[in-house]
Amino acid sequence: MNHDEPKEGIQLVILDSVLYGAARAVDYLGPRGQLMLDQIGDGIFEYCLKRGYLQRKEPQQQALQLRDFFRESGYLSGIDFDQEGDIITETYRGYRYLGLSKKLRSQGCYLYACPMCLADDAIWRKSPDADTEPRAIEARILPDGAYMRRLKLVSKGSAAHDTEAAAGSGDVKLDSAGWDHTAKIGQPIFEAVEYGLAVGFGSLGAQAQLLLDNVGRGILEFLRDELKLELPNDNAKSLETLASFYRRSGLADGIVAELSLTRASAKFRDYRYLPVLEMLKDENIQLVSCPFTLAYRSMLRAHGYALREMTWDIPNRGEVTLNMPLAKFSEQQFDEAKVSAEMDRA
Amino acid sequence: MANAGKESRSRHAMDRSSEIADSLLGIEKPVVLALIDPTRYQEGVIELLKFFTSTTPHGIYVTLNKPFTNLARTFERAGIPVDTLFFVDAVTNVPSVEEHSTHICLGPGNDLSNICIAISKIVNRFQEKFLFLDSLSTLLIYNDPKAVAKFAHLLSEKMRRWGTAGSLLTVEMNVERDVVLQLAPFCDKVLKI
Repeated sequence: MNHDEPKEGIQLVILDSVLYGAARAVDYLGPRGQLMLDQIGDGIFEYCLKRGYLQRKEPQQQALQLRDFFRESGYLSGIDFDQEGDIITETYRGYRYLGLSKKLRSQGCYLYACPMCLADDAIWRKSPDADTEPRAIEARILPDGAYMRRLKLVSKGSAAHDTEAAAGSGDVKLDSAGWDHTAKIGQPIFEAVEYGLAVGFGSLGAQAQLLLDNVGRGILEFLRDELKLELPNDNAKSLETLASFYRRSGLADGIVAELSLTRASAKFRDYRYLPVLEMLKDENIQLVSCPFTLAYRSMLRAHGYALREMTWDIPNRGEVTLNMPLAKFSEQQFDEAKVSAEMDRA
Repeated sequence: MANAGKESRSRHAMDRSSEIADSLLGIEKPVVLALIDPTRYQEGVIELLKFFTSTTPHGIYVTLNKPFTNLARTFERAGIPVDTLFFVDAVTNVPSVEEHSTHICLGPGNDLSNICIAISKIVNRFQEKFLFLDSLSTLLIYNDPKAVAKFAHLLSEKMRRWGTAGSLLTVEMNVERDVVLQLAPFCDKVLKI
């Protein structure tokens, strides 16, 4: 069954690398990490409502709308749905999450990072009228490569939170098409996940950027593992390598990145992250979740740079510029004795 | 039903504050390194703050994460006596230092040294007070971990010299571990919240 390939979209590798980075960034928390990913799901759901991809309806209808939204965006090619009493059986065909799922498990990470399922959980969690919610009781890959899961409707809040291990997904075998990193996914999904990532950690305040920078580390790890994207030791060349990759993968039609000793900048043409950036700015959220920016920041931090506050300039919708003052960690001195004396004087 | 939820959360916060009190029993003017679960950061801060506001008449709250106006609203709703707190706000974007009776916004002067000096200036305003730094994690975004460790070490030393109880907050994050390990010996207690 063929996917609905969106006319314009982002390559799956961008979405997968972000979700991988997010899962790896919170994996150290163990099962509690799922609570952090759930917050991303809340953000995905919120974005879909704000942009009108989902309408405000009762949760069961919203859940169906959500699946249609993901299917139309190419994240899966088809869904079969069956309900008997309080048991729901869903079969996803051409499910794009399987490759990422397998990779996360291979890294010992059992957190669940499927954007559709995270948003689905959010629908039920956020609905004040729903007194039941679906809980996964079984999940497996069928012989034809489809992904089947069975869910039981339980009283809201009654069941322990499921991770992939609890769902018992078993060994994930990819279908014959394998993991196609270049498959196109509709831009709205990308936007929703990016918004979810920025607001999902928002309860932490400004320090959430530290967590997001760890997502950047995961993104680089993913690109290295899956695409053999090796960054040269030279920072400027690394930056160009990253910019080139993200251009090819559809993040923007043009990315020009520059680096000096005191400043890092990037100019984006037709930047697919722009709708998210605009919404975050309108909501006075300073956090940035653009995958290129997170990867870029992570790379610079690994090379000993401290990154100051990011500023964005949007002269028109076709052109966006990011500026980040830099300082070398090695040049940052905190003279304890001197500051102590000044404190005593104060 | 919403009120029942609110009451339950408030009871839980008080229970946790009692647990915090128990773990600090016998430590006079404790200097605490608080390692807060990121999945419940706000709740953890409130629980810890409730302990300190219940034992000390005034507090100096240094915020690097959220504007003090947001925090004041949140704390008021949680039943914390906000009028006993003086905020040092290093996050609100103002063109220059703005000082008021209840708060000071550092504006562009929010580097490690200026934060220390601002705290020193405020600390003399109150006889009995505690210091709350929210958070060391935020400092790691812009600063070398070694510099942050030195900053925290200096602050904890000064707190002892001033006879000031308080807490340095960090979010439980992977990258934090080095800072936490370095600071643990200089604090009376490391609390996981």
